[in-house]
Amino acid sequence: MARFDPNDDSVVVIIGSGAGGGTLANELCQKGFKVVLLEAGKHQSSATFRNDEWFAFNQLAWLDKRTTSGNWQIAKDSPNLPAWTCKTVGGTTVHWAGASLRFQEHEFKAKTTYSNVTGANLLDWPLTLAELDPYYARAELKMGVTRTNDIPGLPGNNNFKVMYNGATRAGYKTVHTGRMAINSRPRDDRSSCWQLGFCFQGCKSGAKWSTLYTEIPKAEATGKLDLRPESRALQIQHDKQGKATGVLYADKDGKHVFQKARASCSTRPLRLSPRASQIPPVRSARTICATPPVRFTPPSPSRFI
Amino acid sequence: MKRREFLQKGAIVVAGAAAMVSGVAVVGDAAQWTAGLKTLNAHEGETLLKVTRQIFPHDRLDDTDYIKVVQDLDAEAATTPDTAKVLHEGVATLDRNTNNKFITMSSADQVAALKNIETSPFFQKVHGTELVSLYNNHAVWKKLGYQGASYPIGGYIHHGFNDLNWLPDPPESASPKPA
Repeated sequence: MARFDPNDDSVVVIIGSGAGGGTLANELCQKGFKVVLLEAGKHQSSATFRNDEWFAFNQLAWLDKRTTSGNWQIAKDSPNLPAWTCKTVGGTTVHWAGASLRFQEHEFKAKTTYSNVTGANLLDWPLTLAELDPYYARAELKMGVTRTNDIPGLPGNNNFKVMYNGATRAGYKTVHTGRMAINSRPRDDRSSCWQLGFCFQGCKSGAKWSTLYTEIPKAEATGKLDLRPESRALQIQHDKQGKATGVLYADKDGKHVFQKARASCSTRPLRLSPRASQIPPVRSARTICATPPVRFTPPSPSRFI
Repeated sequence: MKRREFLQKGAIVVAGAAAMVSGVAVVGDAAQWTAGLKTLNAHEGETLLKVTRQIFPHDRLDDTDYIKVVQDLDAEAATTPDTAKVLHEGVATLDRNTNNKFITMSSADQVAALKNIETSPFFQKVHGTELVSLYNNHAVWKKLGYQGASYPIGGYIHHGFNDLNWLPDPPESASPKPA
């Protein structure tokens, strides 16, 4: 694995090794860029995962104290409950179910489709299905999504049999085991699904796509990836023009390290720059959507390749 | 309010129990197990045994399974003064509200007494701890019929994951045969 100097300002620093960060790291490494991949969590593997829900929660989840406010139920019932998203190499691709659906046309236009819902601030996406289709196709091929690219569907289990019979009797026309980024046949040097029943605890068979054992090792094989687990990003610093100069992070001992960079990106709202107020916030950070929030920080194309 | 709603009212405060590790309970009679408590007295232990059984009632579980929860609460109380205070005061409140009859009350009356304090820190502490302490106990899994890890047997792919036969099989297009 590569190790780049903190003063090497030719690297791209990526914060987070999940679906966005892990994938981007591999894409950049394949193109010859040097990448420092910061991940707050530890580096697990299929061998260290356990078929035990509580153990896995403690092994993989963000256990950091959460705060929330407002009048929603969560704020009342469990304001400090850790979130079952992941703090581990591979991020929440370690925990996700693998369901890989494309948005439908009308879902890009929530405001147009549903009009003004009282108490909500719906928005239309500034994107169309036609624009995204080629990227969906690339993602499906990369992740090996069932029922795309001639990959067979997964076999239904007993629950599916009940659901299928009920749904078809209720009048549903399209009922099948779905489009899943889980191998129904061996593919990409990974086995087919064992029906372990513990997808959320980290897939021990490796059948489910996760950046942990797909994109990240492929990026490492290029010799261009410097993966730094247990490294929590604190601040993206930038110059007066708003161009990123590097990322301040805390290593596993809590020591602050400043990694210089030619560019940096994060898929979570992380706007802790001392001059952040000069840069307008992106609307997506304040608007709930059905997919995990995806944004680049700071939100200027000049800081992102 | 139905029992289920009542149970859901208790906040799921599992965070605090994240590091919960349980001791092994070998239990004879009440005097023996309560004698092993570090912070709670025998009466508090007996009361909490009733409380924990009412919060997550399972006929097929033994007192030993619930005693383990009380032991976990006791262990936390031994190192966390706030927890000890909440438990001492909670039992005292239950006693005061029931003229010291909680332990001997009917099951329905015990549920009613607990419903009165379901939003209290005491109830939430017991509920949150029990959620993990009871249901992460492998002995309890066995009694409830949960098989646990499937990796050691190679998953369910060859162990009946699709053996249901009281409904027609979906077509191959909906559910292909396993590889």
